[in-house]
Amino acid sequence: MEFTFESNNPEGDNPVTKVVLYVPLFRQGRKYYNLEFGDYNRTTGRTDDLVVTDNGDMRKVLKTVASTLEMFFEDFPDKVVHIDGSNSIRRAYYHKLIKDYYNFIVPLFDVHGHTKGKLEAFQLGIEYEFIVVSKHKSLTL
Amino acid sequence: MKKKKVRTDDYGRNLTTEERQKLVEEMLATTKPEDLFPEAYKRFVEHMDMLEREGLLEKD
Repeated sequence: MEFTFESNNPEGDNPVTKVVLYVPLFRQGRKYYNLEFGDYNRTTGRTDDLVVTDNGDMRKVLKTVASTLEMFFEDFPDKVVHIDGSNSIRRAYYHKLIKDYYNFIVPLFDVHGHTKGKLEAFQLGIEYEFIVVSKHKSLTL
Repeated sequence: MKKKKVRTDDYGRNLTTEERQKLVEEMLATTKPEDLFPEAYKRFVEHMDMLEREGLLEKD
């Protein structure tokens, strides 16, 4: 499943196309999905998840990316989505976003974090190695 | 030190939305999903392997 949208700076220019992907992987006979996103790079003909777009709309971009989760789970309500940042700064920022929108997210999704060899319900203040999100509890805890 | 901003056309900034969209659609149609963000996909595989080893995945 894929989504695209455009980011612009506050002046409405410097347009960059953002690509959001849900990439599947089979494990134990089930399909799991990775949430990936970044900028379309015309030169390489690929996407880039390390570039700093510098359009000053990061929070808006991430909210748009997060909104694709609802659409994804409409089509795949029993699947699990893996979320990780492309570096430690981005990972920390995603954790901060979950913290900021915690009361909105929790009624909609099961969010679990992986730390020290276990998955646990997402808790504020803990730095997880990665996060998994589902509509229903699909993972053994 | 003042941050230096380097603007190139790597991201197709001088194209119209429709032109960029067409290029993106071509890329998506001709590239395997796991090759679009290879490092992200690699981490995903590593993490799923980890969950499998730790017995944290349900079996179908």
